Parts: sequence; C-alpha cells; structure tokens
Amino acid sequence: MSNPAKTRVTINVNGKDLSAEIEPRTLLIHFLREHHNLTGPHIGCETTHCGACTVDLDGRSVKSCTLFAVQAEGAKVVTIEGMANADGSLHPLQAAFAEHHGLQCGFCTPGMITRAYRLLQENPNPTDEEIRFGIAGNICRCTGYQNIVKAIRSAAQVMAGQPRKEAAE
Amino acid sequence: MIPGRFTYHRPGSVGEAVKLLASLGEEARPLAGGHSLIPMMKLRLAQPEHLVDLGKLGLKGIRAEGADIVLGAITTQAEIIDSALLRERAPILQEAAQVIADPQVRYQGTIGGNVANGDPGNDMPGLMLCLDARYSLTGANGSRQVAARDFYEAAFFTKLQPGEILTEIRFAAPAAGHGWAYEKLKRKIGDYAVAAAAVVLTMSGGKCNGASIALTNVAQTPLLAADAAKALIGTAVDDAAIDAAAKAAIAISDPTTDTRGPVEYRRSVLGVMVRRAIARAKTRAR
Amino acid sequence: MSQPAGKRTVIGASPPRIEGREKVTGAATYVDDMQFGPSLLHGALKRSPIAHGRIVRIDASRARALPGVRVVVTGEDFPGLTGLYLKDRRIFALDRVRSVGEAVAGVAADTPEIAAQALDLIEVEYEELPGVFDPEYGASPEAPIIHPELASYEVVPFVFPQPGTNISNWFKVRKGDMAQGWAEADLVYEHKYRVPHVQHVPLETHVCVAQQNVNGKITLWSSSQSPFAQRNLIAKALHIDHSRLRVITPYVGGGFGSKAGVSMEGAAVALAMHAKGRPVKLRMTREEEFHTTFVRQGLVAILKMGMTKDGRITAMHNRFYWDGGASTEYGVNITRAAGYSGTGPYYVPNIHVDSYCVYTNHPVGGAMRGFGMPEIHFGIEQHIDEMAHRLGLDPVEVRLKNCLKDGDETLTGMPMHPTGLSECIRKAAAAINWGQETVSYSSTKRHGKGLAAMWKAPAMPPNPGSSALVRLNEDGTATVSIGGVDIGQGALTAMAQFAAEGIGIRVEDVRVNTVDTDYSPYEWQTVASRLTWSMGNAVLRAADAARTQVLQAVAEAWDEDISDLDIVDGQVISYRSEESIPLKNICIDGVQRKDGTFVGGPVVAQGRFMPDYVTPLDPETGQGPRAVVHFTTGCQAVEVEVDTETGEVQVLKIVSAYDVGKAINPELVRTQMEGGAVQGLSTALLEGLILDHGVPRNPNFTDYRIATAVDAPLETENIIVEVPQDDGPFGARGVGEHPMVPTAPAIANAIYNAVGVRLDSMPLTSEKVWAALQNNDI
Repeated sequence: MSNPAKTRVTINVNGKDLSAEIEPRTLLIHFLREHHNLTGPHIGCETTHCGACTVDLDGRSVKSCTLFAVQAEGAKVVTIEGMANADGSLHPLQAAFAEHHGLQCGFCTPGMITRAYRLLQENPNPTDEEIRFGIAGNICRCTGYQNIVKAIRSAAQVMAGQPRKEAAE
Repeated sequence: MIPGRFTYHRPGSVGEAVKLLASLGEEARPLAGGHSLIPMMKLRLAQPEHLVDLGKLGLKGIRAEGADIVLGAITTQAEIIDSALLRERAPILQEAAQVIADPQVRYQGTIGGNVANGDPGNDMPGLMLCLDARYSLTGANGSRQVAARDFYEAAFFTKLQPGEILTEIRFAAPAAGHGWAYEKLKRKIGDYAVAAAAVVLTMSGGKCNGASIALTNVAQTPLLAADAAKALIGTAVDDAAIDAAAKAAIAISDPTTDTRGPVEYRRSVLGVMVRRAIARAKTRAR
Repeated sequence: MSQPAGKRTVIGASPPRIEGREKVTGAATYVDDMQFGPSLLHGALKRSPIAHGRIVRIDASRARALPGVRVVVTGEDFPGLTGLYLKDRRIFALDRVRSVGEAVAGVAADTPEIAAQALDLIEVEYEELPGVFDPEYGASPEAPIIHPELASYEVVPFVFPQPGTNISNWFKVRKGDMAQGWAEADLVYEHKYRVPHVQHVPLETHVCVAQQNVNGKITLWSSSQSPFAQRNLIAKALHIDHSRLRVITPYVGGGFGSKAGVSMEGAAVALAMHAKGRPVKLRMTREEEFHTTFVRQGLVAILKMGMTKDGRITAMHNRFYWDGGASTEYGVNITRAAGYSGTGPYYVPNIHVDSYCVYTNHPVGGAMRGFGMPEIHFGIEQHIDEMAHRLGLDPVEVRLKNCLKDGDETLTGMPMHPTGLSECIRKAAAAINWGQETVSYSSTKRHGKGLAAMWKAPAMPPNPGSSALVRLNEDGTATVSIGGVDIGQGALTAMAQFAAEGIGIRVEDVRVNTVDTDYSPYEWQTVASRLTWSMGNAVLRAADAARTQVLQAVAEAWDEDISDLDIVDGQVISYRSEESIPLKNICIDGVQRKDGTFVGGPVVAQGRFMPDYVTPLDPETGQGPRAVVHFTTGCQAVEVEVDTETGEVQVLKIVSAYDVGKAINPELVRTQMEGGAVQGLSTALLEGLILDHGVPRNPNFTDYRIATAVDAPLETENIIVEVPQDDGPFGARGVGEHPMVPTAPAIANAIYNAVGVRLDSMPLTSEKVWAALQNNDI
C-alpha cells in the first residue's frame, strides 16, 4: 500500500486560522485535540453516537469524530473554547448550564452546549419538546436531561432579551 | 478506531470525479457525507486507498423541473427538512428525514449516500420506491437513468457500478392534495427501523384513486408493496381496506430476527405501521 | 455543629457547582486532555477471543521486533494475584483465560497505529475449555470449575468462598421459623426474575497514563473513583512501596461505579515499569469499555413470599444467583449487600436468604450505582405488587403496612434507625395521584401507574476511613484537600459548603482540590454514596479545627473567652467586646497581642472520620447487632403509556421521594434524583448486554441503547424527605445511588397496571410487552 504524503490543512477555528501537516485520515477531532490542544470537544464513542465531540462547522453541528480534517479545509469551526465572549464573560448558554445544573461530570457538556448553540441559532424560541429532539444526538449519562433542557430554555430567554424566569421545578 | 491510510482527492466537477474513479479503479471510493463510510473505515471494514470527495461537484440543491422534483445527490437530510419546495410538493420526504439518525448526522448525511449504499436499514430508499424516483448514475462512459424500483438487488448490492456516481434523484411530484405518511417504529430515537412504511395516496369523491406503499427494513432491500396499494384503490380506505393492505404488506415482508426483535414481532408491527401510515395519509388527503 | 442553628446560611442552600465555569468553557481537564508531549507511548491490550481456555503458548517475538514498539509484557512478567476482597485475578492472564476480552498481553508503542499492529503480531494459542454462562448452572455440581485454585486465594474475613465450586461468596440469612411463616400465610407465591448484565456507560471511557521516573517512583494519572484503592491494590500486586506510587485524578467524566477499584490501570503501570521513563497512555475504546472494564452483574432471583389476606408479610425465602463473571473485584461484596438487604425495605419475621456469587465465563462484574439493589428490587418490588393484586389489596397500603419503621428489626437483627420511608411512599403516591383512574385517550395507548420502594446501605467493610485537610490562605480563603473524587455528583461543592459553614466563610472563598495521593489525605473510595456522610464529617471536623485554631489565638490575644467569639463571613467577631478583625489579617501571620507580640500562625487543620460501630455478622445466620452504618430509603412512582399494538412504553412522569437525612445542597440532591431516575429508566427499558457464549454481541451504541433527552420523561418531581441521620454531618446521609434502585420495578408495575402483563426479565422491551400481550388478550 502506498504511504500517501501528508497534506497541509487550514481551518478557521474560533476565529483563527489553524494549520497542520496531517495525514488525510486525520479526523477533525484529532486535528483539534492533538494538533491544536483544543481539548474541550471530547471523544466518547468514536462511532457518531454520543455527541461529545460536537463542534459547529459552517453553521452546522457536526460530530468531529466522523469527519476528516481535510473535508473541513477552509471551513469555519467553533468549539466550546470559542463560545465565551471576547471579554471572557460566558455565553448565555454557558452561564445557564452552570447556573441551572445542566451538567454533572461535565464530559458531555462542551458538545451539548455547542449543539444547543446551533439549535438556538435556528430556533430561538424552542419548545421543550423541540429542545429534546434538538439534542437527541448528544448523550448525557448523569443529569437525566431535565436541567439541560431547563438551561437551554433559560438561555433562549436571555438571548431573546427577555427577563430571566425562574424555571418552575 | 483509526481508519487506514488513503489518498484524498477533491475533484471540482463530475467529469473529473468519474475520470478519477475510473483511473483509480476498485481501490477508490466516493465520499459524500461520510456518515456510512467513515465509521466503516474506522472499523477497518472498508479500507479504500483513495477517497474521492464529492463535496465540491455542485451536486447540492432541490429544484422543480416542470412536474418533477430534482434532488442533487449531496443534498443533506437537514436541507431536505428545511426545503420550502418539499414542504409544498413532497412533504413525505421531510417526515422521513426527521426520523433519520440525529440532528448532527442529518446536517452531514446526504440523500445520495442514503439511497446509494444499499443498506436495508436506510429510510430514503423506501421513500424513493414509494415515489417511483429515478436515479442518475454517471460513469466514465456517460450517464444513465435507473428506476429506484429496479435499483436494489440485495443488502448492500445495487445497480450502481464501480466507478459510477449517483448524481441526481428525480421523481414526479405527487398530485396536489395527496395524502402522505411515513410511519417508523424504532427502538429509540436515532435507530434504524424495526419496521417502517411510506404511503402516498390520492382520494377523489371519497374513494382512493391512487396509492403507493413502500416498506423499510423488513427484507434485504426496501420493498414496494404493490398489492397493498392495490387493496386501497377504489375503496373509501375504510378499516377493511386498510386491513387488507396491511395483510398484503406483511405477506411480502421477510424480516430477520435480530436485536430489533423476532420475526413475528417485526411482521406484526409492520402491519401496524402500514395501517397507521394509511390512516394518517387518508386524513391528509384533500 | 458548633454554631447555633439560626445562623446557618450555607447548609441547605443550593450554590451552583464550584467547578461549573471550568466545565462549561472546555477548560476542565480530564486525563485524556492532559498533554505529555512527544515522548508519550500509546498502550494497547491483547485480549482473549474465547470465553474459557488454557493458554498453550504466547509468542510476542514478532511484536517486539516491530519498529516503534517499545514494550511488550505478558502474564509471566507480573504473576501476582490481585483483588479488592478476594485475590483471584492477575493484570494479564497467566495460564488460563476466563472471559472474552481478558487481557493476555500489553504493548506500548510510539503511535496508536503501531500499538494496534503489534497486537495483531502477538500469537496466542488456546486450548478451549467448556464454559459457564448461567449462574444457576454455574453454582450446580455439574458445572466445570473456573477457579480450581479458589481454596488458595487470599480473602477478607466477611467473604465466604466455597472451594471446589464456582461460588466465590455465599451469604446466608436465617431468621425466625419458616414453617410457621408459611403456615400463617394465606398466599404463598414463588417466581423467578432475571436481570441482564448492563454497563455503566460513563461518557468518558477508562483512561490512564503511567510514568516511572529514574528513582523508580511511578505516577499514575487515572480517571478513577478510587485513587487510594488503586494505589493500594496496584502497589501490592506489583510489589511497589505505597509511597513510590502516586495516583493523580483530575476531573472524571462519570463513573457510576465502573471506575471504582482497579480494572485496566494495573496494565498501564506494568507497561510503564518497562518503558524507561516514558509515559504510557491506555484509553479504552467504547467497545472495550462495554465488556472489559466492569459490568453490572447479571442476576437470577428466585423469590418466595408468604402474605396474609390482610397484607402482612409472614415469610420470605429468597435466592439470589449473581453472575459474577470471570473474577470478582466487587461481586463478592455485592452478593453480601444483596444478602443483608434481601427482604427489601420490609419487616419480615421469618427469613431464609441465600445470596451466591458465581464465577462464570462472562465479563467481570463490578460495582454499579445501587450495588445490587436495583437488581434485587426488580423482583422484590414486583413480587409485592403481584401478591397485593392477587389478594385484592392496594399495593401502596401493603407497602405501608410492611415497610420498616423506626426500631423494627431488619433481617439481620439490626434495629432500624429513624427513617422516613413511610413518608416517602405516601408522598410519592400522592404526587402521582395514586388511586385516581388515569384516562387513556386512545384504544391503543393505555396509561398506568406503578410504584416501588427501596432501601440501600453503604456496602463496604466495617471501617472505611475518610480524612480532610483545611488550610487558610493569606486572603482568608480556604483550601480544602480531600481524597474523594467528584465524578459528577457534586462532592466538591458539598465539601465547600461544609468547609464554609464550619469555618465561617463564604462558599465562594473555598477551593477544593482534586485528588493527588501524594498531597491529598486518605479516602477509602468514592463509592457507596458515602462521601457526603463520611468525607463530609471529616471536612466538617477539619473546618471546625481550623476555626478553633483561629479563635483560640484571638481569644488569647484579646483576652476573651472563646465562647464569645465567632467567625461570620470571614470576619472574626466578639459578641462580648464587639470588636472584629478580618480573618485574612490573622490566619497566616497570627494575631497581635496587646504587647505587640503575635500568637497563632498558619492555620492548617485536619479532620477524620471512620465508623467504629459496625459489627461482624454470624456466617451461618447473618445475624448481628449492627450490619451496616445506615440505610437510605425512598420510593418512586411512575406513570407510563403503553402502545398495545407495538408494545412501546413511554414513561410520562417519574416522582422520586428519598429520605436524605438533611439536604446539604437541595438542588444537587434533586439532580441526583433526576439523573438516577433516567439511568434507571434507561436500564429498565433499553439496556442489556447480549452475551452469546460469552461473546458480547452489542458492545456499541447502535445496539446497546442509552436514553436520550427524548426518552427521558417530560415531567419529573423530586421530593426531599429529611429524617436526620444521627452521625451524619448536619444529619445528612447519601443519595447518589438510590434514585435508580426502584425505577425498573416501578415501571414494570405501571406496565402491569396499564395493560395487565407482568414482565419478569429486564429490559422491558417493546417486543417483550407485545409478546406478553399476545398471550393476554385485554
């Protein structure tokens, strides 16, 4: 079998162009984690199920374990590390997950928040049911999802400029 | 979970792509959304030496051409769900796309990949049978059209020849006022169907004057349930007709016992899916 | 403890998690996120493809010759036996493999690809032996013996292996007069229930990195619930001084019991000992996680119960056959816990319980959330329901009549401590509108309600210890060091609350360190829902001691009585002189006396806790004055919708009510209830490893299904009941595991209520419901 040459791939990640000389078989998750130390997206299954590796790519939520980095050449990627505001203040989703106990062990959280971000971009005022279907590609084993749904609902209100309601228990 | 090594190609046109595939021969595989192929490569169940990325061939998009609806092969499930044209003219595709996998996969998974790889678990092939779609297959020797109803030979075996790319899907939009439904029973969200049924029908004067029914994941290939559809024609789509259709559908099914349940269960719930899909399609027909 | 109750502000409040910001920004570091640079070696394990066999030959020469391969080790390199309670396994199989996936060799190489290639080059020849794939059969005299050397294994005194059989522990309870119990009963009912192997599925699979330095000291970075137990077991197995093995545990991506004890970590240390100073990483794939770390044991339970026509339980004869797998890290103790809890939370006068841990050629059983209780309650709570139904009685009333009340004798003869069990049952039933008919809106969608009660004690040796260190910093903040691990349950936050309360500072001013065995004080393990209670006591005592150090210095400097002094929000105040001074001014440099000299100094305080009252039980009868430290009790009620045509079950609502003694952080308590209920739902409806002659057929997320947000109920209600625990910090007892214990039987009872079919094996899949409905025309 031939030993194909490495290729230079450049991807705009969190607003910065990041490059690496990589084999074509390098997956996007490894490009991020191993070549650029962006370890927020996690590896939970490597089989496109758990969603822990979710990042935003050109306005779509993708599981970065099932995409070769070469496929993302020239794309704009946002990871959890790029979610906070420039001044370091948290994105409303990040703040809501922390405040409403939308996390326990935290391993699924970066993928969950990144996915919720795209969901709210597309549907700024989702029902609980739409939230649940919208995060069906992200497994959380700790929370039972109730507080994740609550956090996303609350963040949607903040992002819409509505006064924050204390979610009913 | 590391795929084998390969050389990556990103042609800029269909012509270039088929030329590449022809010259690289059997060691090359086309790459669309990659959500079937990449997992197989990680498991080393597929070890192509070359991947030809179809992402930049201009095969995206959904358009109307006269009475036909045309879908570019690289159109994603998410784009299908968002399409105003499909909402108007062929909403059954949206109903089906919404029960495929999960949101992330739907952004990446393509209609072409879903119908071309011959996986009996995929949902869209059944829809294509139901809608009597035609596939445009392009190879080094030019293009040809194959009816979806002729395309599937066995699990993972189709009429697609090595070196050919499925570029386009085309079907006549169902008549205005048609009723439709895709009913899918799955073990849980994101899963392949235990059994699923696609129904498109038209009613006139309280009687059914056109019907098409197809079945997913109850045989080696998707199945067109012609006798089931026939059982509805000329009837008021009453309980007796629906029962007859369900029986006809079950009769042609050939599911296997697997982690989705024993054969008798899968047959029985296939009947339920067919009944529910017909009943819902009827309420939507005008 | 030392402060007047009226002043309390931190205990019972719900501050958000102290590590929340790190976790929502991606900054929280898990083991796989740590950077070790280019010298990192990638480890991989060669695993047995067969369930049971003799190893005839291992030839690793071709693997050793592969460029980039740095280490290859096999069982011969590390022949010592290890195990938490019963030393019955090795890091690598030596002469015999006992399960598919058992490690027979390990490699470390420059890249993961080379490591994978090297595994393929290791040749292993096996001579297959007949296997044992069912625990009842395994316990029978006909079964082939899996551990012929059982008699020679080292074992703790409260575990009773039966050499010459496959039984690694046999726990017995004999109480009362069985003949009389059956005679008094109006109904005697016997039934068999089955629970399959399930897997914990932490989102982060097992991962660790080991490195040995030139002095021989080894550091193990490990995603672990038991850093100290790992140090202890690995040090003993590999003959390393404990002080030369350092275990560091950063954030852990979920555990649920799977990361308790040692599974693959010993292999990483073994590889590192041959890697000439290079760090070696071992990370399990999801497939490996599913069957080679730990699984929850399978169970066959044969239950027989007698009841009078007015609903009084007269006797129970329960047999539990645990499918312990190839070896038993925790299985023998799960068997014991099931034995001493084997009646469920009920007063029963006449009892015969046998709980057997049986070696099989299945994956190794480990601890999992609930530690045997979800498994035994699946049968017990359906059995009670069924008997109530057969006698025409209300299942809630039957439970209230028989459930343990303060002072009732448990099956091991221990008087029940004050418990809110009856209150939990009443409140859960009320919240689901028990007794009110539910309307089914469609002929094919039937609604039903079900309820199940539970109890669970921390299952552990009689004397597991906790310790804590509290140090005050120049700015008046506190640094708390503990040896327990926050695996998501919120331990860091609860400990910060104890420290803040004990010292008299704000929660925001407390930092709690993750574990480094070189610097953190000892903690037995993060298991058994024991941290809030046990480690909480240690932290509270340390905080109290720190506060006392401060106040003693102030009392001397100001010439006041310590009882007139207090620390409130970081200010030391005197109620007598009404003087005050910021804590930060004195907690390092001491307090200035009137003559200008100083008293006190850097505040460093320790606290420790160990239960000193648990007694042994009689090996023949299981009787003894105090079997356990305490029981947490509770109840769940659910409402389901059953599709009579497809068998699909949708859980509409789950109500959880638990007696937690005292909720230190009520919001965190509720998150445990919700998370546990959904994990319970997932195991009830979806999960189960399919083992075909020991070969796992579904070690992946396609065919082993975990509940998503769509599968979780839309509505949950969480009810906190507080009957204080006498030795709990502020009365607290644990609730981490309990919320998944009664979920499966509650759902099964609700399915029965909805459509009249009873399912005696988990998971309660659509096809099982459908099949049962075919035989039970409704």
